[in-house]
Amino acid sequence: MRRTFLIVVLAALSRSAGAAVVSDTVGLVQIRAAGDARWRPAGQAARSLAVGDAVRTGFGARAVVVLEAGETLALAGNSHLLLVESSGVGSVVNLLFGSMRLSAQALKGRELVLRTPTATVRARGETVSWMASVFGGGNTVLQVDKGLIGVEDERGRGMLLRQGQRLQADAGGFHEPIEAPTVDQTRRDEFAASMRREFALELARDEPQRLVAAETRRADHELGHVLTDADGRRVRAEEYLVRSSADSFSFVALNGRREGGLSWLTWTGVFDRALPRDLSDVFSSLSGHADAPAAWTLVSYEAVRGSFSDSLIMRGAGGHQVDLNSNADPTDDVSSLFDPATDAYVSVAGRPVFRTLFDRSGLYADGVLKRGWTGVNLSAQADALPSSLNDPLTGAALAAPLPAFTANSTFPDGSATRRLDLESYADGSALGLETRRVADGFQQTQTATEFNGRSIQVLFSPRILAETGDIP
Amino acid sequence: MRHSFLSAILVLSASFAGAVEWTPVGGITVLGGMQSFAGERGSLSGNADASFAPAMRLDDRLSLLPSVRAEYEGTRRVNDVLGTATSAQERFESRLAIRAVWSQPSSRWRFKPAVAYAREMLKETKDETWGLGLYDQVRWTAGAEAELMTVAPHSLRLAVDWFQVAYPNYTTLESQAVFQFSGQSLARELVGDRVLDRTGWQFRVGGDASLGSRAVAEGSLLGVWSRFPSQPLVDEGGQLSGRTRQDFLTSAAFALRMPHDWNADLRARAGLELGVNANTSDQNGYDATRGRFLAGFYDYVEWRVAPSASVVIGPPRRPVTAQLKLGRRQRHYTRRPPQGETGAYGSGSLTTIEWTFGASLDYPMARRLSLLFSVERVSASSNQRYQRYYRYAYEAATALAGLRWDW
Repeated sequence: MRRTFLIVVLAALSRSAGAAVVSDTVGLVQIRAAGDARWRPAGQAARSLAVGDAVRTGFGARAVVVLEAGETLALAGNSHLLLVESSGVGSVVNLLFGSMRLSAQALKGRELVLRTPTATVRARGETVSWMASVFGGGNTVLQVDKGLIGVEDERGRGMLLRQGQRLQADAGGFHEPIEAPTVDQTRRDEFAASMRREFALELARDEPQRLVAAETRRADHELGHVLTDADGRRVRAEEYLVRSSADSFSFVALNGRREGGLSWLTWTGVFDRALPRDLSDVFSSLSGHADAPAAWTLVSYEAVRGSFSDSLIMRGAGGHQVDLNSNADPTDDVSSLFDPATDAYVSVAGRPVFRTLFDRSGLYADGVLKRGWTGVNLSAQADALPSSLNDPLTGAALAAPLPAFTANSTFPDGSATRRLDLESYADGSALGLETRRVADGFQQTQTATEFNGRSIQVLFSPRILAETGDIP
Repeated sequence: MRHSFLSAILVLSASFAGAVEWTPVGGITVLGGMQSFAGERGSLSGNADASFAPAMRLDDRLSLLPSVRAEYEGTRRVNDVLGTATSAQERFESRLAIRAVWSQPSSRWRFKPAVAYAREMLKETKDETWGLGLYDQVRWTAGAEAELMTVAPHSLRLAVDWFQVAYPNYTTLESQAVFQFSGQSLARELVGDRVLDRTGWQFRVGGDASLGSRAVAEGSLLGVWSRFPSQPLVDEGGQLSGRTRQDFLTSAAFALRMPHDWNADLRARAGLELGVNANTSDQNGYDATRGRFLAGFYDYVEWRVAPSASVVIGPPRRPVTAQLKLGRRQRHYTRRPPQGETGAYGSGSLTTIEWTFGASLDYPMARRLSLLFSVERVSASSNQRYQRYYRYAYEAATALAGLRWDW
């Protein structure tokens, strides 16, 4: 009661000064006097407002401005209002930003004008109430709750807006007026819009994980961990080195298939001395060394193609380096060597080339010796004696002499890199190796009579064949 | 007693449901299309995305947003990991989440805790089946976001999330081969099994603001700290150490959008997006066939720039929108050397460049229903010539057409 009295008194006083009153402030409400650069708190008590003064509200704040003739402007949060004129003839206010509701009763011909950056609005009739909102770019939305208003855009185009209508105006002019939603509908629409935004923010939380997951998958592909075989099926692959002692290492190529389990290709070499941590030089000398012996001599090796059921193993022992281009056998001369640094064969014709020859070697299918040879400090592979009655590596006597065998290679497809190697033994057994070039490397399928119809399939980088040379 | 308890719950639920105001949010997008990769045209397929979130306002301060989303991708998009060049790829992701939004009506702050569960299934080859894909993932995310409303509708956001990602079908072959064969193990000591599983934290600071009346700026800074508890570090000799891998991904993005209105029914918007991603990892690589140690194999820096232009025709509630977008993305693996065609290592560092071009049209047919057209093209190049396992240079294009219905 006391508060209302005060407002009325102040409004009456302001009438004589041609001004208005700010009251009912909640939150941060500031006033800037005409000609002053500073904003000052409006405070809780009602206070007068002169022509040229401005009012602004902070987030969640609100205020009511009562004009000369009793018209009320209910200012929402984040709004900025300038009082241009307020007298008995009429009032003019500028809404620079934010939202407010204008209400007037018994105007009796007085003007009530609202200006926004993109529209000018005039009250028509005695009683009127409308909501005005100004957004970024000066876009204005008007909604009439009661009465009639006249609207002009920046180009001078005008229209009347009736109760229940909503109109948007921007720098381009008016849009088509639409029927305004009810208060409940507005509340629901605002909530839905807010929740749509929250939903978008919620989905965005997954984006970093999608990015990391994509990188994880990409790196796995780059590392060659997932390949495609000749039939278009997935083959997983891993290649790595195992250092079980200072003077040896194993190269392991593992393959995994959805149906068929694991298969592998391993090559284990034992050298005559400790190997360096960086094995790149050791790798580069495995296929041969030009001009001088390699620093490390491969004493023995074991190359395995295997699966959980079957294995084909080539073993060699008694390794020593021999200059093949200077020995007595001209048929084993080496004219080119694989250079791992460039992945190319380089000419070494006429130069000393040292390669490792093994005095004892044997090939085993599921533990059954298929063939082998022995020798003593061999200087040429041709000097090796084929094994017949004894295991070449252990010297153990065999139950039966090894059968003789013939070997041949064919290239069945003229248009594709495909090779078939077949070893036929006099006892009726056989070893078969199919090598196919696929996009991701070489795919080999090893068969043997001892495998009872099964096979070992391995997919690997071809360079390991070139480097080690002795993989069967 | 039990009866009374159930009755009490039913009564409480009914009264609670009566007090709650709820609004459905969501949409369905169905697109049919085709992708071509390196001159090979894929079969006709499509993408679909459906989401539903019954948003609930419990009172003036608290709202809940439970949500479910299902997404199928049969046609690969140009921003996918296309270099895998897998013959048939299909992806299906389902996601469940609940998010709370709490704020005092007079406060500028909003606090939003959230929990999400997602499962992604991926078929890369024809012999993979749904649920048994090698790269299937299960993700859990839990965290919170604080948002400071500046000038509506703009805000500043700070978020932190804990995450755990598991690949249920991925274990290393090496860990499967831990057995004695001819007296020798095929696996290294300390071998890990679920090496792709990761857990960690992600942090994000972002916001948007208007720059005068003519432009809106958006910016974000993201950090993702991932730990791979089953992935031991590879040392210089290609062996495994006792420490496990940790990565930190930093991503910064900035976008500027400039609207222009010619008149009420003809508007345009120009945009420019800039971004940088940088990943640092303590993991290394090792090329076993060459005995070559590759330090910092996963480290990279990537720059992105993408200008765009849109034309919006018609009333704001149902405009026709046409957009053109150009993009350039350059990635620089800071410590990974490029390889020649046969795999021989060169000098310098591996660099990839992607140019993308996209055009799209959004044509409203009815309230909430739009017709969509999209064409995308990417051209990738690199100084990496060894492309046996991953394609670094390719041309790909995607064309899609379909419908979108929004609630």
